Amino acid sequence: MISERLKGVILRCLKLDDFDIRDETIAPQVPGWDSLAHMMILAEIETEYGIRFRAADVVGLPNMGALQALVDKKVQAKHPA
Amino acid sequence: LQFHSFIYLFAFLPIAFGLYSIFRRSIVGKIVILIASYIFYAWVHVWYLIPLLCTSLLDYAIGLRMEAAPNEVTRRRWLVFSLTANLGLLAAFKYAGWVSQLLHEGAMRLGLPLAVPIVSVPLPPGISFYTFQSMTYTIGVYWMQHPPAKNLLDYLNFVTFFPQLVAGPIQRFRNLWPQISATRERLSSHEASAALFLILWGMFQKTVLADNFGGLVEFTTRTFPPQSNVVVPGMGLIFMYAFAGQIYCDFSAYTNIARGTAKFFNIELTRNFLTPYFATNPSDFWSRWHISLSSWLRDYLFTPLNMAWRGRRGQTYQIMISLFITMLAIGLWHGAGLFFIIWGAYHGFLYVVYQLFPLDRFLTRHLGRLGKALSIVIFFHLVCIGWIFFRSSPQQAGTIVESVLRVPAMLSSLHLLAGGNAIWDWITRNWVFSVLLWGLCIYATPLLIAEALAYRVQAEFGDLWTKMPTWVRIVVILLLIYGIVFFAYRQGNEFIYFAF
Repeated sequence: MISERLKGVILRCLKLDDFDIRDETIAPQVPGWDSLAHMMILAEIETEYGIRFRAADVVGLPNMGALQALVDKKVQAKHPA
Repeated sequence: LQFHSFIYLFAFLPIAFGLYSIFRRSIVGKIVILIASYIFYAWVHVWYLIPLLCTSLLDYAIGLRMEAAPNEVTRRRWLVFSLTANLGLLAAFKYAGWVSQLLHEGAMRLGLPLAVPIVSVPLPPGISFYTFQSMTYTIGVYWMQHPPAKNLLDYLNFVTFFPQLVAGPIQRFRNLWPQISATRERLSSHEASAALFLILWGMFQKTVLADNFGGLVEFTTRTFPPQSNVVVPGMGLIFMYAFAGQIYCDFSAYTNIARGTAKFFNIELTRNFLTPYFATNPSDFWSRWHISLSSWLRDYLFTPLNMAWRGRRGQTYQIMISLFITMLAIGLWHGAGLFFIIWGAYHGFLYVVYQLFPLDRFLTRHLGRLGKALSIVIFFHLVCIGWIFFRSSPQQAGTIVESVLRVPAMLSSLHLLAGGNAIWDWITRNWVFSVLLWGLCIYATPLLIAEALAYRVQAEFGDLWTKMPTWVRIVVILLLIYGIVFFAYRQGNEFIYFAF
């Protein structure tokens, strides 16, 4: 499930008031989410969570659920329980 | 071997499909596909197989070496080796002649006492496609997106699968490998009919639309330098529209025939187009045009560049630079020549302009559906201007642009409200332009109808088969066959993208 925090970053980057973002949502379904916006969103997520993505992490992400899982994994790796 | 040749359609494909169907469940089925692919590729010159085999075998071996590598540094070295070998091979065949020519001319102009030999290397068809496809494999192994291929036969089939070998769509390992390495089901009648329709539609696009648009392009080209030094008003416009139709129909035709052929072997290739001339901005266009190449460069050039450079300068600035480099790479991928680079740079420039001034968003916000329609028309014309650089030579481009710019003056003498005689007078005064425009409309109409129908459901026309009632299917098939029999261009041309 997409967290409110991640959703907030995405909506802020895309200058959207609200949009129903679910696990199965894919980027082209979200208004304004193109290759350029994709890069801006990834940079904002990195800043928001204090994490770093590699190209290998973000190429081929199938949907928002995968993005959330990737963020969770990176945060987990940074702050192991 | 050409997709639209009799020998391919009535001998090669039926034999390959027949033998594959008989031996589908055993390893022989895979060997049949591999031999068919090599015959298809070596049809004109057997030596074409040498670079193809080098790429395939090298990347297969490198994949295994990467898996066995003791550490990250060694893995990275193998990846660099793979990329250098692939790009080096591509550069040697595709750019060596151009670079040596430039060096030769540069040395002559500067009066340097250097005798730079001009290299002339024949270009193996589709080398840009299969080297890119093979590189997705080694990059994928390096990024640990998938394990290396263990079965050499399957790997050779992944690189050389003949429907998409020469002009794509460039397949990703994660899409093609699970299909090519599996024992696939027998072709269902439903899939067979969809495959045949894709091939028929592709044949229509190639022989009726692309080649006739090509005829118009050839005709108008004769009115440009060096054949003529007179600027004929309107010829540039016909040239621009006709080439926009030709290149799209030609490449889309190849893709449709490739997808249809692959379906016979129960393999689903990714699509390469999605009604691209309905795009409203550069980003939209490149997500609809040559999707397999643009997404390849997005994933393997644009994204890594951004990741490597982030934080060094302003975010937007850095993204724009990466984007511009990516667009230059798209231009260079198409060929060695200044005009391809200018074409790529032009699209990079459009990206930057639309990022700074999102005209489509402005129009859509203020004018709704009319604004969206206007955005489509405006961006289509911007793409058409780009095609002038893509197709013409440096000495022609100026004349073509001037000819386009003279159209308003030419049309200003046309008084539509003055009645039939005045219009007829105008037509007789501009009869060459009028006849060519009529020809353009004849071939643009079916294309426009097909594209509009597909755009409504965000698909390609070839995909609409499954949605058509039986009677519509019969009518469409009869129309396509009628078109091919009576309107096909008699001087068959090669597919344009074979040259890339």
